Amino acid sequence: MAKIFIDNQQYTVHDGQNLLQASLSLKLDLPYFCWHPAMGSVGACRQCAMTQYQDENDTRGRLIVACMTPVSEGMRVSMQQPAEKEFRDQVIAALMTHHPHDCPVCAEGGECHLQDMTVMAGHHERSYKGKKTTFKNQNLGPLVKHEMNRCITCYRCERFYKDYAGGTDLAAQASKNHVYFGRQRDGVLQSEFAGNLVEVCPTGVFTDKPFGDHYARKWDLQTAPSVCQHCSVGCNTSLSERYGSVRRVTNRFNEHLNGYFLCDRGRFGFGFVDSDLRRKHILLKGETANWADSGISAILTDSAPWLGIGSSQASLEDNFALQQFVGAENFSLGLDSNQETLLATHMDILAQWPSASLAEMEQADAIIILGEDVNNSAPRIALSIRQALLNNAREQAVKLRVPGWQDAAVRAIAPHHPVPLAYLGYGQSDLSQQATIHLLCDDKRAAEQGFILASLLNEKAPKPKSRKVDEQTLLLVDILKTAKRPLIVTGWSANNPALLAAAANIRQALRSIKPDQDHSMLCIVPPEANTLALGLLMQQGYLSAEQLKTKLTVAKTNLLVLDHSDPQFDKQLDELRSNAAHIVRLSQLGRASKRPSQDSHAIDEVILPISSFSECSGSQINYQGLLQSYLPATKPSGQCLPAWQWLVNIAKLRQHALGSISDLGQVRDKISNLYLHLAAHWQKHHGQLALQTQRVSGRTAMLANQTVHEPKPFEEVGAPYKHSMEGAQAGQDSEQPLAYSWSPGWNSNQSNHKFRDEYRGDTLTAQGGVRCVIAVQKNQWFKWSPQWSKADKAKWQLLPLQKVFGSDNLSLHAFPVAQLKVQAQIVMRQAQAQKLNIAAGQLVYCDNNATLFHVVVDPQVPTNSLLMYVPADQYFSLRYCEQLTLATAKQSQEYTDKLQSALAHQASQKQTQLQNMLAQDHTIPIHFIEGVV
Amino acid sequence: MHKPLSQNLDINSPQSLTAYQKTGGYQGFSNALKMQPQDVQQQVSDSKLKGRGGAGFMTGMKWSFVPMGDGAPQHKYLVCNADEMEPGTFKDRWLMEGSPHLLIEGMMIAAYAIGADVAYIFLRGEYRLCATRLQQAIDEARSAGLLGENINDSHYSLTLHLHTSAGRYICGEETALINALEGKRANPRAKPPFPQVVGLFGRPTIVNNCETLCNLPCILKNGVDWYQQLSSGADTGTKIYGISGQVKNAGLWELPMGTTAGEILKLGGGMQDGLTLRGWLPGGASTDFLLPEHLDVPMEYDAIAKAGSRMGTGVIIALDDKHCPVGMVLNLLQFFAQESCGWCTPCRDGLPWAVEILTRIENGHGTQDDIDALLQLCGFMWIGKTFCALAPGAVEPLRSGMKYFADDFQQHIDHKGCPHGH
Repeated sequence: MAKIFIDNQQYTVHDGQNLLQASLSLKLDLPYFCWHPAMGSVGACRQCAMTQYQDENDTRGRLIVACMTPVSEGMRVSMQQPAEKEFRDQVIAALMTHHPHDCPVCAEGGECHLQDMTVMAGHHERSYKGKKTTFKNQNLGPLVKHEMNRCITCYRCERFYKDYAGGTDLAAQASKNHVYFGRQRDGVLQSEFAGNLVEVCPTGVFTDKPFGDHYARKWDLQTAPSVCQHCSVGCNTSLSERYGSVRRVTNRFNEHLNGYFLCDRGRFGFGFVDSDLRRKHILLKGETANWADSGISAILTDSAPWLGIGSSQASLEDNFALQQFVGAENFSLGLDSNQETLLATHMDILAQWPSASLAEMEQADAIIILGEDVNNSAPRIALSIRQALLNNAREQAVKLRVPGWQDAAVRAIAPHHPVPLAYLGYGQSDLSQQATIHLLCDDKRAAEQGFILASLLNEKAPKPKSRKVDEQTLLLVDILKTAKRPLIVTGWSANNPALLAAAANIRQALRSIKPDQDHSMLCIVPPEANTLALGLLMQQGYLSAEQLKTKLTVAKTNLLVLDHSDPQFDKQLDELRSNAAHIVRLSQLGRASKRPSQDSHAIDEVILPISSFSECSGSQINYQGLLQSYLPATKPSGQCLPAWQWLVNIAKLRQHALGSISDLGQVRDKISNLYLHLAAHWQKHHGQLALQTQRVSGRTAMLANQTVHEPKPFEEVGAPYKHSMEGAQAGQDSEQPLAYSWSPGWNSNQSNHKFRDEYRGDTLTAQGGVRCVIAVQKNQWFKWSPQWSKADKAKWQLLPLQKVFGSDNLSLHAFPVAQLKVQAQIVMRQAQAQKLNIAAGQLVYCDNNATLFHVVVDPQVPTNSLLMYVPADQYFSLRYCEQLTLATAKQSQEYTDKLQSALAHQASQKQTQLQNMLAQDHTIPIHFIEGVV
Repeated sequence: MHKPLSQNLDINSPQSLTAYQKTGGYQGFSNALKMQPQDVQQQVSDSKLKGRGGAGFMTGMKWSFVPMGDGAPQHKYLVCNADEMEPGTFKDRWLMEGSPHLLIEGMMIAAYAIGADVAYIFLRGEYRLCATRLQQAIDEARSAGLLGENINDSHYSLTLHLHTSAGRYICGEETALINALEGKRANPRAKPPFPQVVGLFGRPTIVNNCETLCNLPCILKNGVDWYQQLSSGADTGTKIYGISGQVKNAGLWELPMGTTAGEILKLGGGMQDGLTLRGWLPGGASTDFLLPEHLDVPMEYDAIAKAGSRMGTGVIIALDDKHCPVGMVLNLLQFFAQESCGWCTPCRDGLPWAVEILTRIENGHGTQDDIDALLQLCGFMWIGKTFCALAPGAVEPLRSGMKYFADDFQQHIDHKGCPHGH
């Protein structure tokens, strides 16, 4: 700690930080632009100027920029000294010389850091008499809008995009007051983190394009603390609504997970809740029906036994309610056998090793990635790993007495102090390119090398069948032995449990080397947002996929299904369909079908429409086994209810015990009874969180064209929030999550610093909070299973690839992501392509399968393999391939025509949806919920 | 009078390697190789050589911060700042075109002294003749074994590269130069860390001006005492002085340090007929104006500073009484505004603002509050407010011009036009 004096007032602040950080943490209003809490200081904008005095006798002082000045014991500084105060005003005046008078039409207005700092400086009169410089804007794709006239040249965008996130197609160009931030030419921004430009830019240069199409001011938005649904990280988000429709996702700061940044899939993928395919009505055999209809109750009260199928896309409460309803022995997880093994293995590992948070991973000083393309399966994790690569440079900087937050200096030192990053796997990505040790191999070899590595670190670790030790593995032995905070990363993408076992063994071996100083870390990436919830529930016992099939053939059985938007699931359900008596499906999204009237899934089924994550409270478990919960930003429409509520209603019909539940709190109580350590997560609140700001407008007017009566705002029974401005405003109650960040004078997301030190009580998402599995040291090794060594005799194995825009089904139903969806690809090496007489860009078939693949040529393909990517809305099951057949000219043309027309259709659907939403702003659905208990 | 830098300088036909050696060239380097690097540093410190790029910092002291010895980083760099772009300054061009081996020998001495194994000449791209001649000289030196591995059986190896810059004045700022050499945008770096510790490619680096390096051969050849006796003033050695503007013979002369501007003006033949000197910039565009009454101040770093300016590069720009001072200041500020790298707010947004005001004043559209606005901008862009010295350098002619030629500025405003008829 250091004692410092600001305007003769003594404060105690943390050592090692800069004066700007210290001032902000003391809640002093020191303006700034170019500093960013995650990106450190560069000293470019000069806005944070303060005065520093030599001693108590020095009254003149000299100007310093706070962001570049380390705090030191006894330092005397001032914010109020007139000379520096005037200088800060002059900086604003200079930035304003060319700034357009756009506020009324600028999307940033109301959450604009430039507005806030301008008002804070007191600048109100323009003395510049010249003309303003203007720029041409670029079309940067469907996600981010570009308006360069507003730029104040703070360089945050380039620093984030290029340095922090590793993007290569956006940078500063030109010089002097013509500096231009953009691409070399118009085109879609390639980085999967481009959307963060919207929040990093302190003015309206980069804004959220889809949000801009259907816009509302921040103060008018109703914002709920939510959790992303598009991968297993569970980044915390703020979900905002206006006039009954969800408008946008912004980052909700969580210092252990996402920090300040999201990936584009999470930011722009929420639109599935507004898809045309959203179920809004109860369907009986394809026709709309009502709960009270006899046809419905006849099926629901059917006497044949019921089996349940859970879903990793449904909440913990939904899955739990289903498991309770049918009984654990009748509850299937909705996974195939291999995935069940992966899940059991994953839970087993979690029971021994707590999984690292993103913040912890950013501290790693050696990283090994085993067979997982993190950049595409969990991009936010890859972004954190990328930051770890500077850790040795930061350590060296401190030795040179350069603070770690002096970003440019750290990056200048970095090339000579690399953090070892080993990538054992296939495919091209930012991390594979950053790797200091690279082994191009398939998942089996990566797993074998992992086992070998563990055995080299500790001879007790089981070895795989005798296999050549790759030199990369040998290099890793010393690296991992000497590293202080090594990180092992793997995942489910290759569908191979051997990788998980290998990672766990390495972890175990590392602990055995330094049992008292073990800071090694493990991270295993499962698919989907809530797979580990199924892992938690499987502890009660479960019905395996095999057993499910058998049970259906043995006796007349009904299926109660939590729908899983995924073609593989559809295939599995189709295989079970003929043996099922009745299928009742609790479904969020229907399926796109060429002949909608013949949606075969609707036949002989009851479909109960369920609320999306934006419309009800729920909880999910992330890759770490961390329990997180979300609140609804809006109300459900049509006949939608949360899935657990439907199950309670069905239970009531059948006089099942579950029917006695009256609200979500009771569901959670039941969960807590089974898993005692989870109880702390759902503490009762005193008071409620207001999801609207105090400045929200139009409350009484917005429904007046429909009715003069003011319906009660939607609320879930016993809920700790209100869809109104009543209750504790965001940030006022430290027990409540920070739904959105706002503070007087700090209207933008920069206000976050006001909540950083005091604010610890996020009971919905507290990291220090609740893991669903408590790790207990068992010192168990995983043995090598012989089936992991089996190889098919086929010509090529098809190794699965993922894409950020394409490998998550839900987000493909959101237009911005759908527009960027990558089409099916097969990746091969140049030599392979030449041998087959195939060129990049051509279309090929695999054996007798009807899927057409675009050919991509890339060197990162292991021998005897092809890399295969299929979008998550297409079914493809082949693991091996004997022959690739080039599409004929006619077939290619047909395919291209089909694709073009699909894209055109999508564009017109998007337009229609937008028009409907704009129209709906004037006829906001007044919703009286049926069936609320 | 000794002229160690220019005695064999021939702008039309510079000396080849053999000719250079015949007249004593590379003797200094040979002497250096026989000494310990630390001793070479000591000799240069003792000579009290000051940097000739404009800052006047003690060269030996600058070198002393480079880590030396067995624990030092493996690779170190010596860089010659040959990015001469200060308006009114053309001395380095003269040295490089007329005596390329002098620079190369100087670089070799400096590189040896700091333990550098790689050296770069960062040359202003427009100096194409310099580039040809320097490259030729480098090739000659390499063929003769004076560059490369194990030079003269000394176990010292040095690789020397010539890099021609893609442009921009800011590259003359040593840390921006380093960034440009690395292939990055030429924005300056914050100090600390200093280049001596974290420089080019993160390694210890010394950046010296071309003329500074050209002083080293004679110091190492003839010794400290000889060097110090070249001048009688506070600063040691000789200096390439010069003058341009409406004088009879604009040019460059090597003279003892401490020669007065009056003497340099005399060498330049005085003002052209019918013109009187009104003011002068001692060392390029980024120095404060001085008046005729200051002509007998010795052109030394401290003396000129005491007179209220900076010696800078020591190549004078003379303002005559028929040229408008406002127009001259506008011209200079246009240069600086154009050359701003765009990194920090006061320079990037303040300089064009000053240009906007000066343009209107010069065109007769200035108002009284414009004077105050300009003075405010001078304060806004001063040292410490900006990230580097470019904008403060631009402020020097502006504030001194407004001080000494206040009447001219006022007349532009009162008479809504330029009294000099521009």
